[in-house]
Amino acid sequence: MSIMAYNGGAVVAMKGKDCVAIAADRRFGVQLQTIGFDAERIFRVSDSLFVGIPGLATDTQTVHERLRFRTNMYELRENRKVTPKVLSSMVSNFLYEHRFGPYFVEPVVAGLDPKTHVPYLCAFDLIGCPNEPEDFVVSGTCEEQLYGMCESLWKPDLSPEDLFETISQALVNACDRDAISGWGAKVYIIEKDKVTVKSVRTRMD
Amino acid sequence: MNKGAAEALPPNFSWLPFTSCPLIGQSLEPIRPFHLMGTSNFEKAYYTLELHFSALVFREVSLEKLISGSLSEGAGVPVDINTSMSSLLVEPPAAGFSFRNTNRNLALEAHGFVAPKAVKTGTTIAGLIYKDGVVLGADTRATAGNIVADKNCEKIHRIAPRIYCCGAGTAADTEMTTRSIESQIELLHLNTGREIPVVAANRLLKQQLFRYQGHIGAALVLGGVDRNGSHIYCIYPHGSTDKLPFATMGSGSLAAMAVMESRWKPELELDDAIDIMREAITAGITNDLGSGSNVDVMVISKDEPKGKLARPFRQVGIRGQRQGDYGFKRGATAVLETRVVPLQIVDEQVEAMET
Amino acid sequence: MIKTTRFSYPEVENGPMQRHFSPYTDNGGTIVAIAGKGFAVIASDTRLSSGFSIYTREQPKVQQLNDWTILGCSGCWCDVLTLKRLMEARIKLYRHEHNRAMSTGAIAQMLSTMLYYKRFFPYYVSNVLAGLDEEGNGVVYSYDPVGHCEKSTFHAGGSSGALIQPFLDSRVRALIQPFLDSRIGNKNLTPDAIPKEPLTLDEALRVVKDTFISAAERDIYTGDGVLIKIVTPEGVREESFPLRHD
Repeated sequence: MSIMAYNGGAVVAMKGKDCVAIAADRRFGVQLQTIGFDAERIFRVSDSLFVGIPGLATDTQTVHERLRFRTNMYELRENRKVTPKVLSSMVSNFLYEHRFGPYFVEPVVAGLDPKTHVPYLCAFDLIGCPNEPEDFVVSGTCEEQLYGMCESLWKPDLSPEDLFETISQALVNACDRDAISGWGAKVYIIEKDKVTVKSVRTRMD
Repeated sequence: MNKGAAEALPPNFSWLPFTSCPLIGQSLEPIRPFHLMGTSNFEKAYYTLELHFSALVFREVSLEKLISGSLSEGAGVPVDINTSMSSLLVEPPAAGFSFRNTNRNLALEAHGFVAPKAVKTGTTIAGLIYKDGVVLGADTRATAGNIVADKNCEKIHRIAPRIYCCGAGTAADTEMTTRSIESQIELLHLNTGREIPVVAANRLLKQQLFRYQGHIGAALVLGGVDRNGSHIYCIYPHGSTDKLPFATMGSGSLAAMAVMESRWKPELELDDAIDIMREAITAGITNDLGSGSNVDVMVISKDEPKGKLARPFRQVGIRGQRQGDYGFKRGATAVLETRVVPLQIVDEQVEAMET
Repeated sequence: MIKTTRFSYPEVENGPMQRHFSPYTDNGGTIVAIAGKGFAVIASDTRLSSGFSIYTREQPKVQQLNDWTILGCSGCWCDVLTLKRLMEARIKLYRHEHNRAMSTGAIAQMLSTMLYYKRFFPYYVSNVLAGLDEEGNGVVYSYDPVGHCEKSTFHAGGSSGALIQPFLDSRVRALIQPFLDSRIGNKNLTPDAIPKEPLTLDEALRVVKDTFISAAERDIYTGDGVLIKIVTPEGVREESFPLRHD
């Protein structure tokens, strides 16, 4: 078994028109045993900037703490907000620093630029290779299922409401075909004037 | 315990700042200078440590000696290293790799947990020399196993205005290695005030790769123009290099080489050179499953101050037209709880800046 | 002094020596099947590959077994060929013995038996059988390599199975069985959003085509083209269209 699939979990993020969404399931398990359904894999970095960290749960938390430290230090030292691009090169450099002893996580950065409000998405492999596509990124144990769902459902210029339906259905249906993801889902819709957080009803098996 | 930790440093890493030293990572971290903040004789201890730190790196003094020396200089500093852990712990500007997790990960692997694979660029990359310079080409697919991770990634990396480098292999390695050499070449340029020749970039790259004995999985085609003419180098992950008039690399290298071998000749015109490059990369894209999507072409001419990138130069893999509409009705997804966090847009004055 | 020559038999002394034999290869390929009222659709891509190279761009993986049954198989291509040959022979035997063609259900059961017969040296094949039942309605059977058989109304198998199956869950079941408490797709939609009208053949064809377009984007072993076989009480017809070939 891959160590990436020890705890299970998945994250997906999509671009819409002037908005971006990031969603994750809530299962926390140890191999096939489910322990909890209140896992947090998406963390807020600044007002309209989020990072999703699926992978080995211990590393999810460690990486989040270390990134929090680095982003805080950045804001103190530079006296300005972390932009999505800055966060993404931070994540990339952080992961590559551990090239020969990696953290078992594949983070996803999603957010709006604090000044221009341009949507931004970026996914990384576990040693920090960035991938900045124009449509969507997926990560986690049901990556293949999510790729299939997103390739079929996603279309350009979705409004925040339609983006929510699209990303939720993509995540929920993908998780239903993965034994170690699911058990609830949380969706963040990021717009320039608000962030909407929704808990989505899913199968609980 | 009695063995000086500095002696245990493997030769390759002796130059790295101490957090990067694999065998002393954990024990040394807590005595970083910043931990001593707040104690009365902090400055004294700090300077002792700073003064003698290079001695540790060059193995002239043992770790224990250095610690005890600094601590006795700053009297009153708690001797228990752990208690000096403070919330002000500052991660030092990291240089080099961290081996913090290496032992843990080896232990996990020994327990039968398979380490995951990083994203690879299956890749077709190529470079050729023509009459007035070089042409570099690459496909744009990155794969993770049998899945396409990135449909349009950039594999032609900048080293200097007239030196570029195509990368195949582990995606993060090609990206980071070329970026690091780019910055070293820039510093060299600023130091000397001269245009750095391609051979220098080749040497920096091969030495970096050789130092890591093939563990940095980067296979590169380096190309550029300098005062000595046009050059193409092939650099392999273990650090060996070839200097060639035309070269291909990656999983699609054979397909691309077939085109190169049949069509390349000395003193090519630019249009012919670009044409050969396009066909070579296209051959890789269509015949090799690890390569796909578009052809990127970079032309570096001796008459131009900068290389010119055409991206995409040609789209080979084009998405089919979707027939149905798979949008969902609003409200199709059952929501248990909604929370809206309003964001205050602080009135900002934006002043455009030349970047 | 007597010197004795001692022969060494490492095989006996150190236990049996192991030799490795890997009889299987994965030649890729994807099958999608959807059944509806009065029709069944089954499609495959036409790429045959191994590792990073393509063997051919024109090898469909769906095979007509009789007037109302189609078999789709992908995986280890030599196993696919052998299995298909044996099945055709047994279908012919059945016809000669019973003087009638096998029903889809009978073929489905036979395939399961044939696969389980090779329980400890299985055919490395992902099978999907689609056709019409005795009432003329569509039916799909899907298998694991050792003969587990499941009757369903849609299935995606092969290298892109994982990519396509959740999409079929969300789209197809909702259309075929709007009034049944289906276990996967409908549960993820609120009652108002569940389509009430049954799945039409055109709709099924659209879904099949779009799943292949999506799969070809992300799966390197799926591409080049698609061959669709459409089974209706009037007979079997074919449709094909190209996919990206990179």
